[in-house]
Amino acid sequence: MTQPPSDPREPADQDVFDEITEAQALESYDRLRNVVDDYRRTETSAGEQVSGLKARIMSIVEDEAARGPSTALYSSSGLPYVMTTASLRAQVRAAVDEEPGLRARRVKVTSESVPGQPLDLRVTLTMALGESLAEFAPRLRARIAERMELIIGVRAGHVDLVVEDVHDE
Amino acid sequence: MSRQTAGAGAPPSGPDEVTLVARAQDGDLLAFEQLVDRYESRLLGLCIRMLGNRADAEDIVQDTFLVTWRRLESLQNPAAFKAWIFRLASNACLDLLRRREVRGTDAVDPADMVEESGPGPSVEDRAETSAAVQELEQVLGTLSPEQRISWLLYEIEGQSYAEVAEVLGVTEGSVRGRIHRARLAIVEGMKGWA
Repeated sequence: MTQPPSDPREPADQDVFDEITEAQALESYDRLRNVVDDYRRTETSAGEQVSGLKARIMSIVEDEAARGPSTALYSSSGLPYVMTTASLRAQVRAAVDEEPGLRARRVKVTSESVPGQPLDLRVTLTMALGESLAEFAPRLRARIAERMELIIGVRAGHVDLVVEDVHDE
Repeated sequence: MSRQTAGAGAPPSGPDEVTLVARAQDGDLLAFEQLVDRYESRLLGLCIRMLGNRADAEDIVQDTFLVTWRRLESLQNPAAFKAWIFRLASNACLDLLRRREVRGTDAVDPADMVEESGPGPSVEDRAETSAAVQELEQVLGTLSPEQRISWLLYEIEGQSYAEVAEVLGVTEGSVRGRIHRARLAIVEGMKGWA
């Protein structure tokens, strides 16, 4: 990776050694370690009312999420409807998370929504150490398809499962 | 890898950060809330120490998280989330300080914003500690904003030179130089304590 150039406003490093050697400076600085440690331990009142700040952030984020992008869908009888893409993805994630040892990451609809056609998905996830993709994949695909049909009302087609990482439970 | 975890507290439990970021990119509010939980206090503490003003610091932290939420999809590498969010907050602090400089506005003295916490030593020792910390805060207030943010990220947040360089978008050598000069200024300004 190319590093950006140094800030030209800053003096060259050797300038700082004019009056004090590096060794002397570091020795003196080390004697101030306790003060730096105390400063680190002092509170900046950041802990207070943090929940108020978080509440404000989440309130705005929730409002924006509700107005997020939607996915057009067709019921099994061919009737069109829409749902927020985030809600659709949440249902698929929930199906993954229900499977012991699995954690969903991202969900992407990879096919066009067409009346009478199932919806293809790409699901990325992490699995616990010791899990076997070959073992859980058919079970997980069935679970996702069942949840799609039951809660969203559409059939699942191809479900690509991508294991991105292995985690400790 | 961080140099130390002094500023980070205990390692977070639950899903790893990459999973949380990936889920938040898909609109998972719970995952995003967990990211807010992880970084809110750390960013707020950093911004208060930089700006010496809690209201300004809260505004910057709120804006940082909202920008993060709105641009999350553009983050190609979820593992870079920490550097990204610290960069947004750090740049916002530096921008605000530059605007203050242009307007000639005096910042609130950082010493007025800091309170001691936790069980401490005797009253006498505490008074001495407090005086030393206040002296340090005074010296930090004399550093350039670039030196101060570098020193805070390294010494208080426990980030490595490479991590600070990534956050600030400068070379590692530049970060080392800034921190070295900050240390010299601290040594010079706190002669009575060293």
